[in-house]
Amino acid sequence: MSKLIIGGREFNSRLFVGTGKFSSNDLMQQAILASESEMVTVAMKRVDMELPQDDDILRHVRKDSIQLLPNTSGVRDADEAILAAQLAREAFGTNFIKLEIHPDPKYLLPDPVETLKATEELAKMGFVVLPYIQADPVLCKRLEEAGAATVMPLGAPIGSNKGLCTRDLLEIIIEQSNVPVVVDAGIGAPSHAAEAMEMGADAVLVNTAIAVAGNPVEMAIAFKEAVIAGRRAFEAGLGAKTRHAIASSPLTSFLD
Amino acid sequence: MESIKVLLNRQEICVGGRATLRELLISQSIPTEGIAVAVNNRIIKKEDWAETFLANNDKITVVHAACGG
Repeated sequence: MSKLIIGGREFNSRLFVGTGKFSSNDLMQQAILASESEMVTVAMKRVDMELPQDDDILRHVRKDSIQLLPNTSGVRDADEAILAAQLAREAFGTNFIKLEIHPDPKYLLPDPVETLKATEELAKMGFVVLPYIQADPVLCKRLEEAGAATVMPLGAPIGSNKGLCTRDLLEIIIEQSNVPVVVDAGIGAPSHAAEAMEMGADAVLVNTAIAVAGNPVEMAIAFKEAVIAGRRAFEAGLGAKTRHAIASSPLTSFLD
Repeated sequence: MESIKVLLNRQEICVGGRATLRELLISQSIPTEGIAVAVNNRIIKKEDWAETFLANNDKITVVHAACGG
């Protein structure tokens, strides 16, 4: 299978995973290892002044093969996102940033105007910007022109597990993109991940579906296998769909 | 020595008038690894903490990693 390259770094795995919603940090660590993911998202929060020595989650995810992908969750506009990205660079020592600006807590849909503004600025500042955005093909091209390292269109709202509700638009985005397309958000089952990969997505980002599974470690493996299968199928070249049957066995009579 | 008030992660703290950012972080038992600090929304790199003198009403933000997708 071909390798994925983002920000000059080569990735053997096309499954990106998040660290949210796991019942414990140990379980999160086991699931991430089982997923064999090499891109793992982390968020930021203010240090709790009552508990400044709180468990450091980085010790559960730091590994040479893993690229940390800090996100800007919690910001409301481009200015806050730029500050958050700089904080992330300082705290985690990486230029990679998952840019997410979603001020509305009900649907957590990304603000396209602020995301484009922040992408332009952050790319100029040397960040490897992976913006989380609506599945909007025009916006994806604008982000690419602005210097985004990838585009990360959503399949469905974050944490909804609804799958690729934006399927038709994702197909257009994949067809047009000159940067890797990472389908982010809404992927609730390995079959959804496989579908995105068969379509030609370069990677998928999965968090909730693994973290809240009955057995997150087994689910991480299931996603790993689905992503590999989907990518392999895409590279192998899927057969065309037709309206009518096309026999796969000979139809010549042989019993008369 | 005259003392000043600063806001550290929204909590009001009194420090000496010549206190540095580094001294503040140590006095509050904040681990110095895996964190980032901004004073009045401007990032202060770790190597500059010891030379950054605090002023009255400075707003200091200290963040670290959290779980998230």
